[in-house]
Amino acid sequence: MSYIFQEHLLLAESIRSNLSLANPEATEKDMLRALEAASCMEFVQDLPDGIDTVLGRSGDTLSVGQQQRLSIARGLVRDAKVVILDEPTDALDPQTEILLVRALRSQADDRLVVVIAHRLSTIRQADKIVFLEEGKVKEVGDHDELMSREDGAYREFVRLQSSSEAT
Amino acid sequence: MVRKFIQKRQVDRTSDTTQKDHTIVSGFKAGAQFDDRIDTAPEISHVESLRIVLRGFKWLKYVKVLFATRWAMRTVMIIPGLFLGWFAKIVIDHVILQVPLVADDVNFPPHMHWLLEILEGREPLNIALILLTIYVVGLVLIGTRAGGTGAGLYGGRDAASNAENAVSGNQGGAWTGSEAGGIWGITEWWVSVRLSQRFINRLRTDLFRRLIRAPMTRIDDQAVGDSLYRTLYDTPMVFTNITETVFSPFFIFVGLGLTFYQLWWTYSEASMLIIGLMALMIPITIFTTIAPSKWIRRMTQNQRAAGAATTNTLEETMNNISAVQSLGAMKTEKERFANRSAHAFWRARIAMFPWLGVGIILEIVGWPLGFYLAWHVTNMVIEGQLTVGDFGALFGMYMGLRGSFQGLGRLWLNVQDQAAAARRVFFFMDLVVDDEEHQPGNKLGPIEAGVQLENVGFKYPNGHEALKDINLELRIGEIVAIVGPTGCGKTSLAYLLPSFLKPTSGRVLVDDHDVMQIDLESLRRQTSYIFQEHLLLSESIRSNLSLANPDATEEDMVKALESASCMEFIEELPDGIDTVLGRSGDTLSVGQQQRLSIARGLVRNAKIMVLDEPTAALDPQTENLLVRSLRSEADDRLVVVIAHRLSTIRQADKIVFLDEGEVKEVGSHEELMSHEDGPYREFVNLQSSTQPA
Ligand SMILES: Nc1ncnc2c1ncn2[C@@H]1O[C@H](COP(=O)(O)OP(=O)(O)O)[C@@H](O)[C@H]1O
Ligand SMILES: [Mg+2]
Repeated sequence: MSYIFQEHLLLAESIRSNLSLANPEATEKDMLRALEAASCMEFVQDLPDGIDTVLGRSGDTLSVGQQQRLSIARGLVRDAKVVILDEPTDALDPQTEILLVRALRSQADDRLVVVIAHRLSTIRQADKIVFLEEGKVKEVGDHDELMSREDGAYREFVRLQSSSEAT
Repeated sequence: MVRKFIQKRQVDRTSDTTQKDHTIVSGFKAGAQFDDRIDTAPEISHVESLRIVLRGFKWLKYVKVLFATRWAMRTVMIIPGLFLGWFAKIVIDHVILQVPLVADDVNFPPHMHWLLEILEGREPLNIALILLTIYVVGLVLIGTRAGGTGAGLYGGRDAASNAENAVSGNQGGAWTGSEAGGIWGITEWWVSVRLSQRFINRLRTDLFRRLIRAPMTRIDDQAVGDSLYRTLYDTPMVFTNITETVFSPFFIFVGLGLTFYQLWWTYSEASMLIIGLMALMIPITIFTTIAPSKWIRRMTQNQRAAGAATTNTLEETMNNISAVQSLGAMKTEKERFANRSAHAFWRARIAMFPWLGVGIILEIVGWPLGFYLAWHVTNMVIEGQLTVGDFGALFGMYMGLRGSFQGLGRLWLNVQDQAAAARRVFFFMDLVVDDEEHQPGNKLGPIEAGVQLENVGFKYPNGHEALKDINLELRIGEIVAIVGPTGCGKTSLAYLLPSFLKPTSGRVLVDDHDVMQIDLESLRRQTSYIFQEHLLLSESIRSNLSLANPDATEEDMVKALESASCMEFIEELPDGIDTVLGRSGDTLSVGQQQRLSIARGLVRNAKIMVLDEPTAALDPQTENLLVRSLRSEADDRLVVVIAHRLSTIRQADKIVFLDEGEVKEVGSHEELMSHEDGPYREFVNLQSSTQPA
């Protein structure tokens, strides 16, 4: 089980030790794979010591989005059967978000991935959507199923969201 | 057995470090760097260590009266030392041995004559009664002189005990709370507690004040545990320093002088011998303490660095407790803590070695000298040159002198010890604070025109070039959106406006004044930055808001809370706006924390408002509403919003599209959309394709 928090929580150590904290057995290859999947490689490559770069207090020497991606990578390196992501894409720009969701998708074959999300682009990728309201489950199903329900709570949510996001 | 011992040693010595390019080396000479990323060159010379010690004296100006009182009270306590030995002599010779007392025949220093005249010709019992009366009065006033008065703390050698002792006016050796007991002792100890506490409080507040004003980018790398250690454990040593360099030597020398005077007057022959023996001890103490002082200093520094590293581990792990627990890293973290803690203790033991060494040498030298003196004086008593009482008086004085010389020898050791701690305090005192990089006093009036960036570049201390040659004009009355991929420098750019970051090339102008040339406070007061990460204090919602704007009325607060859609959840809280939050706001959901910190930024009602990705906290409608309400009030304001949502971006008068630290395009939505192949247009297209219409 691996829980990726809404808030990124990084230690003021090297990227490598942040990752091996999550999985002491992880090989260099595992780490790189996880970093790749969470689109961290592009900025890790630019860092002076790469994966051995030591971070500032709670990761402060990275941009917030980068911190968030790194903590996603850390969740992935655990190689757990169940991965829970709590609003992971909040600090990501749309392009990164697409990449991440695709990476999660491709990893999901032998895993259960639970994502807590607001963004439609993320939600739509799910096999099963659990719609919560005031602590109660209102609807369960995939995007198409739920959208087909007239007056469904999810459908209403999507309508609201798209109307204000429309370009 | 030996092997096991060696292995154990190695375990003790290893400790992980997050210090780049530094390793932790074992041994007496080696340096230890743990998490210190700012204070990385702790080396100090002999001269510097003295300079550091002297520097602490500046804080005496806040405690002048207490210091003088303490000094005077301690001086009075010299008096009993002038009489006690002679009382003993009178009791032995004239009470117990019943030798008749004839003032002109006995051998006493001049200050005793008045008493001898009173006692002359009296019965032994009578003499005993008079002395007893004086003694009892003395006992009530100043006690037995056997222990002195203090806080009853034990003198451990670890930083926490030392600090605790220092604050309680109880530092062992020549400087306990009071040398006296009785009424005098209690009074003096109280004065001494007040003195040390006031001094240390002032010093650590000054340190804290500097720490919290250090430039953000510098202090980003400073571990909280280390700051804590410096403020709590290192500052008291600066005070100990003063007592050790002024008080102790002064009273040691006064004590020495008085003893010599008494000796010289009464036992001129034996005194030559004692003085000769003491003279022998001086080079020995000097040699034993001066030669290794550099190592001693280093060992203490290492001890302190290791102690701070332990505090750091604790602070970091507890601060990230949910990450640690969710990742199942409890065992790793426990081991890390155990390692560091054991390492800190090992360093503390190492730092004790010099003291042990000096102690052993002084004992080894001191006792044979004492025996030699005892043998010599016994001979003189047998030959009738001295009385039996003289033996007691002389030997007492010898022990006193020996103590003083050992004290003098340790003095230099103390100075090394405390210089190491004081350096850690002064290092952060000397760090340039934010406002001093600007022009304090050169106040900026209400911002009227706006901000202009001229060829601005910014490099982080690690060499990363986050912004390159930026030219921009942001006017009051505008809403500006900064757009670009994660890590492209949006936050860094926005940080230039309140001067959280200073350009490393080019200029930032506010109303045509270079920000580096104006009073920082007057600029910051007119800006409000809503951070990408929420930073709430564990206080009530109301005090979180009034921290941002002490003048805000209830109405202002509610308005701000409404704009950031906080009212809906605040209404549900037991105490509403007066609800006290958990550690960094933890008792609210993350989204609520974010909204609350937006409200806090709004209540500031500043000329320049920056919202750094408020998106995460707000659903699209709320964000829209928020930007609209800012829009309607924006006439005399500059609003800068960093955003990903098109619905928000489109409302901006000016969109700044950043990529890899460079401004790629500037203009309104329509303008930028009209650029075929423009990066902004591409961004919009990408976004629309992922967001279902
Ligand atoms: N304190 C720091 N020290 C070194 N590099 C930093 C620091 N803060 C941010 N960076 C780097 O500067 C770049 C820009 O960061 P930032 O302005 O926070 O990006 P964003 O556009 O996501 O807000 C990133 O590559 C980041 O890694
Ligand atoms: Mg940012």
